[in-house]
Amino acid sequence: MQNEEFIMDFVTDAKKHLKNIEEILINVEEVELKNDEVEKLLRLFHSIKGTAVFFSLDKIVDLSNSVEEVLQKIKNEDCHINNEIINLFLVAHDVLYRFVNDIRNSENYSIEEVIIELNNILHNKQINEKKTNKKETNKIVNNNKINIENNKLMENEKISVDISTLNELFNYTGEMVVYKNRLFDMLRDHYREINGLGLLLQNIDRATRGLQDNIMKTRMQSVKIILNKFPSITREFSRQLNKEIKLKIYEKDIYLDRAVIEVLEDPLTQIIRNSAVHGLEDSIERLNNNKTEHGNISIKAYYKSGLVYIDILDDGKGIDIEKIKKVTVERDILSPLEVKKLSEEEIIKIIFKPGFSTESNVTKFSGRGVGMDVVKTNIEKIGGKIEVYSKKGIGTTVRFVLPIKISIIKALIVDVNKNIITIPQNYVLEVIKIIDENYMEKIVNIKNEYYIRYRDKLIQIVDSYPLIKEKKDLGKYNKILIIKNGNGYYGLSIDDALDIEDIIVKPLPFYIKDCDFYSGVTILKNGMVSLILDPNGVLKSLSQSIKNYELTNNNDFKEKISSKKLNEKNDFKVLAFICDKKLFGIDMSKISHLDNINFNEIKNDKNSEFVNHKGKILKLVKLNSDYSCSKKKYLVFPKENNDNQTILVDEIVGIYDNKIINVEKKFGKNNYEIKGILENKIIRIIDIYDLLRRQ
Amino acid sequence: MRKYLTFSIENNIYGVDLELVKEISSNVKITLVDYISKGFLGLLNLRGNVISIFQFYFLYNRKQKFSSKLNKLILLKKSDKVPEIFGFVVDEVLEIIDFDEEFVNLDVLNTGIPDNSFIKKVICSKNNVFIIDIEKFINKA
Repeated sequence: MQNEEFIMDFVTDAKKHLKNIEEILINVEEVELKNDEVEKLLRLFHSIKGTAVFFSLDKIVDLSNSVEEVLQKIKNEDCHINNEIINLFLVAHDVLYRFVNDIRNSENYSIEEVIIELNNILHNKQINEKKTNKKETNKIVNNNKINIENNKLMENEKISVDISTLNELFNYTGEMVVYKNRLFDMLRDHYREINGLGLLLQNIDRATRGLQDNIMKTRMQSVKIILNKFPSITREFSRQLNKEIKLKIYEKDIYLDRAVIEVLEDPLTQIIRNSAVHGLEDSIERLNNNKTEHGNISIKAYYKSGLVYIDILDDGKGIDIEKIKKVTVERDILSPLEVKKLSEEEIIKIIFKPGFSTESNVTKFSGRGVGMDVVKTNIEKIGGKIEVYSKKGIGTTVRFVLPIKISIIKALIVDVNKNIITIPQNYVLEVIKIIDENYMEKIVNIKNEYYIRYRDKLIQIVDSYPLIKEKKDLGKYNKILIIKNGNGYYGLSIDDALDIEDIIVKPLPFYIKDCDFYSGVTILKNGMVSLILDPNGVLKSLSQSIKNYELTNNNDFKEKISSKKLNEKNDFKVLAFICDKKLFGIDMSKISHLDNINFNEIKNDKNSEFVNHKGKILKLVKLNSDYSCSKKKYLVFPKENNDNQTILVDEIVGIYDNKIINVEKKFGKNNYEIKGILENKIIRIIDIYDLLRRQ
Repeated sequence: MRKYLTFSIENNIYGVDLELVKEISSNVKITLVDYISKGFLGLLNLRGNVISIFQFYFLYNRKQKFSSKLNKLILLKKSDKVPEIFGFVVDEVLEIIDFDEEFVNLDVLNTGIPDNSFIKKVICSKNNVFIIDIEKFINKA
């Protein structure tokens, strides 16, 4: 066939057009078709028709023509758009897609049904027919315009490239950057010797930068590409199962590496199929259970803690735990005794076992038990995780947690003692400068642990020593990063924040896989490799150090009581401090902040002591009579401090969470005390307001 | 006959099976992350791939000083012995030697190097060449 090449071009183009058509149709499902969308659709169908005419692909021509006519009617407002029409368009789209994919046999497909239905729409509205005739001529005139616009559209269109080619390009670009930098290094001292060299190098720099930025972009694809396939897939399930299903997609600019996108489609389809077949009940059952008549499935894609989450939720009947248990025992997967021991979560996990299915009949949709196992393998293949949550009668959520590994993230590049480390930016709340002058105002030393004031919190600063194995005093660092992760905040001391870059996360090399603090590596713009910090890993080591925090320096606490018998816990955070060699505690939520003063700053007046703190005269509240033992004292500032009082304490021990065991509540003379045990030491928990009232 | 690539570290001559060698590179910049483990030196960007770089100096209880101009890297390819490409820093790359297995001296004791636990065998040519057991070396570093 001499037209072979042209036909292939047509196929590529038509596929592109069909993709655009689908995108528009999917997005208008809930709303009205806007005028410009109708225009676009008209143009797209028209282009398909236009080229198909050349190759005498009559059926494609006929079908596109019928759609076009209906669209024209909508445009002229002779006909109202409704779900039926959109569905019909989608069917037409699907048929055309099949044609295009199998272009040689396209003439063998039947299109009568669709065309008849399309014509029905045209003729049902015959009342308006007269108007249309007039405009028919306009349409032909307009066609010229449309073609011109179409050419403009082509400029923004896309071509497909092999991933391997892109990967090569990607690596070459990386190399190029390294060589460029080295070249710059070598020529640095010779700029003046060769005329024009400086400018040339500048241009090379700009060009390589541009090259690299754009190559980066090519690897990433919007997750929309696959999510947008699901409305039609769901419609198909809905039709075949005779269940009405509404699908909602929530997605906002989530980009993933092509490699991940390619793998995702099958698992997603499988999960949605499961929801449609097993999860969602039929409408009668749903109505009986006070649910909407139609079943609901939603897909949510979002970034969280440096990972991409895709949740597939349905409001069906949920996973039947009992049924899984039964089948597990029946098929000898586990013994009844073993099953009994399992938690609900663990039972749900059984569905991922190869060959597991609760359906006794193999149907077109399911029952072979290959589904979930394949889903799991596929997701794990790209380094992801799968989680299932289900509530009987309420619904099921399947969550894909996809790693940052292959996706691009924004990251902060920091310098920690001349080590360049990368931190995913979504963990970083703020960078706080701690230059010498205000060092003491921002940093509080509590029992050799440093805390930084951040808003109304005291956040522990993690020593970066475990990260880089080089000891350096906190005072020698310039900045503190406030890092937030799921469990809390902490500060990390750094020398400088250098840059923010889009990075591609690569897995840690095999030989340093067990490193807790780092989650991956990346190649920075300058070609150097940088480790990516895992804030969760760091926090693990932090909580370890808090847990192991011993009051070893305070031998004064000789009272030791076995804590084993006493289990009642306080569920608030406690600031522990020492006064008169006794350990006290105050509910953290009642404290605004801490500070330290020198003993000689305390002024005496009659029976009261005062201190001048930042221009304010504050009355000191003491828990002990003798306070001359050390030069340095700490002030604890209560919240809602109307009387300008502050509590004077000898030493701050730390902040403890849920670790204090109540021993007794004491009433009588000192009834503001609750006695408890903190790490084998007796602690007296004080009601701070009660204490202040007594003054 | 087997071919070995020999190299020197602190005046000792070591050898590695040439079949394992991927390439020798010099004048490269590596990111030092010598805090990961005692034998780990850093990471290299080799044409878009991140390669782990080890060093031998920890055997001599000394810190490796790496200079991209003076030091050379020997990179080993992935094989059943090497789970992932890696490289190590040497003072100098020497030569490739042929050696009949039968002349190999299997006595690795009294070799005069600080640690011989990862030495597979010793070849006696002009000097003693300590052939490295790569798997053992990785475990050690």
